[in-house]
Amino acid sequence: MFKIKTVTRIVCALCLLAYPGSAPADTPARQKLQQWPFAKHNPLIFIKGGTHVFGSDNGEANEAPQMRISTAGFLMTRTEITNAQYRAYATLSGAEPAHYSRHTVLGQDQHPVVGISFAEAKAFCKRYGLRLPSEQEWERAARGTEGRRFAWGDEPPGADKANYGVEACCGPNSHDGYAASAPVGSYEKGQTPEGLADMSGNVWEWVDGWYTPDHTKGAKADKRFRVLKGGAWNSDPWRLRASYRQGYNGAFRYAANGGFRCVKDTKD
Amino acid sequence: MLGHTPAQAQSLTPEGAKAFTLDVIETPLQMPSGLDWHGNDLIATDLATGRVVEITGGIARNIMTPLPFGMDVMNEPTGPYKVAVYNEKLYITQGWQDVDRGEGPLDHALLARPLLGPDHDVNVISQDFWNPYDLARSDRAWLVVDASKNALVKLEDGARQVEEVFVFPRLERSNGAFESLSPTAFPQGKAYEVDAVPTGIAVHDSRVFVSLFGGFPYVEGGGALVLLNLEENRKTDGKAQGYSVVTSGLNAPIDVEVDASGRLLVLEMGRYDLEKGFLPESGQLLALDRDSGKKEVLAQGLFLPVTLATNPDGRIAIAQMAGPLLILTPRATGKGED
Repeated sequence: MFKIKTVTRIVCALCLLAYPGSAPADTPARQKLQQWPFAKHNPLIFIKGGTHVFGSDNGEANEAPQMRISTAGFLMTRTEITNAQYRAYATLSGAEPAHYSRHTVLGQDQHPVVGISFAEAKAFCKRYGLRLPSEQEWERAARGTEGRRFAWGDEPPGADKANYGVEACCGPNSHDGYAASAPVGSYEKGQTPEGLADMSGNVWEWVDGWYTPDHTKGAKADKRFRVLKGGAWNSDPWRLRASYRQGYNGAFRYAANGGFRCVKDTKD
Repeated sequence: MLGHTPAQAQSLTPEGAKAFTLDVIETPLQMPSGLDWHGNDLIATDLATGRVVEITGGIARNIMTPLPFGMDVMNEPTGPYKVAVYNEKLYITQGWQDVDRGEGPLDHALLARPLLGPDHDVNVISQDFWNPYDLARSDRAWLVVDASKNALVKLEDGARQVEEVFVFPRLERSNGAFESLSPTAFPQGKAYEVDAVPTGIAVHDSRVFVSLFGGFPYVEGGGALVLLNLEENRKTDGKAQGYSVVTSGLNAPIDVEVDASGRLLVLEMGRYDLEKGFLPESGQLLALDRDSGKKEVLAQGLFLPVTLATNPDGRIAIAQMAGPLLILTPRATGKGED
């Protein structure tokens, strides 16, 4: 059928009820869900705490002001969560499949999962004792301590560094080998010094927190929108900058270019 | 699997109730899509099973082997979308293949089969479509909406290749429609374009009416009904010059028909919510004045309605993808009724 989202799903509310006053049994399946079972292909990488640059005075108005903040150390998944990982989670947990899980390109096992809402991304991380990164943590991971422009440094993007789109916003191209999403970790030269892959490009990544008009202290959160970071396969180089902020309705689960990764507190 | 709305949700408006009575027909169809009259009976297709059935007194009887069906790459149902009864034959638009199998000989095609014939007697008229949707008869040809191409194509009788009649240009939308989606992707003050997405087609007196659904995010009032005059408005290459807008401000118009009296009928799928999808019970059946474009709501509370079928005796049938079939029957008028 053409692009009409005609399918509505009625959640089985009865399936989600817990008997009041008792905790669900800790079944082997539930125990399995609570460990991070994807460490082999998507290990957790340590990002050292300390002070680091956050925001930018040379970007959009909502990226300003640039400042130096302090963030505690944390662990971050090396790659965006993949279709294979999300499918395994959905099968065990009963979560709704990602919207493009059957797409011939976007739904491939090693491509980042797309077509999931903010809440669905958050729920995935929570299942394994993880969480979505804050905007500050995400920038620390992508920009290092000195606020590099992109995940790899300040040099402009190239086909060997990231999966992104045309030079003038916004649209896809295949100059980097992929017209849409790419298998995670395809651009070794685009990784951060710690080895995080696809922090710039491939798919946008949900981060926790509300969108604000800028980073000034006391800036009012607009609770209609969440924040996405990192740019995607159809973004221009401007949107690939690690300080760029995309405000988006968190309930939206039809984006073909939006995914996520998870983090874990080092104290856990 | 779609849930079915309670039958009581659908109703006639006061204007509709003056002219019609409403019957609700529960059938075993899970996702009714195509619909047409065959005398007093209805022929229907089911996207959930590929069935093509004849419905008599609420009983659905298979009249041919089920056609391919499933979910396509965009996670939307595909299969036998629409059916038209013409010269004692069924004409079926079969969608592109589902994601679980390779392309087959019946995919993205116009199929034909005698109404009364052997079960295997399905003729592939043409596969020269991307994703054929609604169809209408015009002269000695079929006009078919190829929705994924945003185009109207024509298949002459006896031909295997279609000719492109008109490609609907993208529709311009103001930022206001996208405000609820993103303040950064759609900043204020800019206009944006969406796909036209032609859906239903009806032909009357050589005039071709097409409903334009309007692409995502299916803004409220973002749909339109347009008129293509293929005779008066033809370019030297045979394609239509453009269209005139009969009416706009429609909520996801999915089908159009002309009733027995020549009045335009438009089926609205309803209002769209970013989180919930198309809101249940927000679909409507409208009657339009062809000259003034004035709209009158006849039925409301419809749940994902997709197809209208008009009978020469004035009855109107509606298929709902997540609800029962509905039949509007004209009230008796005239002599003998005081």
